[in-house]
Amino acid sequence: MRIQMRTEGGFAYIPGLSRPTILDSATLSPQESDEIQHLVSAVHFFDLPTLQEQTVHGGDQRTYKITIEDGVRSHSIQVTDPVKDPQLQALLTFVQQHASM
Amino acid sequence: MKLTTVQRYILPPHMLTALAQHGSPEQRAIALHMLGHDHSIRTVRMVQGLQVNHHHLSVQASINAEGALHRVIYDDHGTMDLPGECVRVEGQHAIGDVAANEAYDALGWTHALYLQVYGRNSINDAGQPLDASVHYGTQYNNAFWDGERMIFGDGDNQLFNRFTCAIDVIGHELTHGVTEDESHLAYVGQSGSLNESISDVFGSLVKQYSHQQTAEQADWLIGHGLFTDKIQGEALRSLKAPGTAYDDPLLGRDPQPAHMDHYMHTVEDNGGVHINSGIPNHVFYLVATRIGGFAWEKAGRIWYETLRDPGLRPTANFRMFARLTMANAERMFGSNSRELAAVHEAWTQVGVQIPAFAKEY
Ligand SMILES: [Zn+2]
Repeated sequence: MRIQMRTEGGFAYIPGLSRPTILDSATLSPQESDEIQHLVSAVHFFDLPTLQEQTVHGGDQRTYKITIEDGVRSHSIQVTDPVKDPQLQALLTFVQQHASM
Repeated sequence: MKLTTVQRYILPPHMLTALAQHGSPEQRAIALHMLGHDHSIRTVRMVQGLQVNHHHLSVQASINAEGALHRVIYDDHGTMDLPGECVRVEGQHAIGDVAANEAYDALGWTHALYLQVYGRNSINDAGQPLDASVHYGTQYNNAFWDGERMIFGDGDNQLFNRFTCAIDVIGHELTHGVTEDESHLAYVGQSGSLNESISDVFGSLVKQYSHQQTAEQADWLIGHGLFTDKIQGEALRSLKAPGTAYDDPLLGRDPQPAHMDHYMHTVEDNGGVHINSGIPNHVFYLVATRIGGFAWEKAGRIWYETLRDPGLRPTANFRMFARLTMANAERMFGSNSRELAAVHEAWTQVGVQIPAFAKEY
């Protein structure tokens, strides 16, 4: 499984930091690999709408664009802070902590 | 109204607000104090040589309860559960948490600028409570306005320090609420860049007001102190010199343009709202320094009246906004005023052509 995430916008938006980060489950420990598989299936990632519900209000919220490829499946979504679904937030947090440029 | 009336009765916030704006110097000082602006009263005293009667201190708490200035600070304790635990409300003493106290103080200054200078009572001009959540998430490198509250991350301590450390960041976020209340400037493209710029402008004015700095004395930086010492940069943005705030091996170079020739066409960041805001930001700096003195008095007033102008549409672009700043400068200062000339010259300098007639847009 390969996850690509891109973070855009925010008060402290810096284009140089918005390059996509990649997480390849093959590079993770068996335990971490299990964890990411679990997070992806718990949130039913491949069934999520491409654009997550977001408020039209506010300013400086960051937007996350996430693409996951798993075998023949591939799906992309876009979600904006604050992320309402705790399971999607848990997935985001894991990717942020484990992905590299 | 006589001073004795103020002494005897607890006035509703709207009357205090009116007194704070239009009363005699003594009435203004007392009304401001009753509205809870402790630190700004020192400024008033300093500037106008006033003495504040300490008999009025006792009614302050009950006035605040009516909502003129009502700050509520929440602590997320590293989670993303909003709003978090309430840790400090209006009138309470400082607590043992730097971020919570910084948010509390900076919200006070932002409220003070809007009330004392522009006669605006909070975000909605009706005493809306100012809610802020600190310690949002872990290593969270952002601050934002979600439509109801201001939310501040602690930063990752690698690139960013805590987002409450700069007063203009808090003024910036609160101003998003004001803009949303007044104009609904769409958060995309040029209207989004204007929305961003208005937050930077008033964020910087809050800092200048709190330091009583003139346009010449101010640093015109946004987020000074936000970068850790590992980063080569003094701030996130500069109104004085867009494009020069940072230049770092990891972050790259501050991409903000100061002229339409360098406007960045991008789909990222809602069309570069945090990038192209450099152009209207620089216009404000030019206007303020050409006029001179305290930037909030004239340049800030022109921008504030433009923000409140019913002609400012949600889809306004730079040209439309420029035209409205001209119209408001003319209305307030006259068609032959140096203020109007300063506004016109500033937009011309950054390459924004101002339509001659309102019907052009
Ligand atoms: Zn903003």
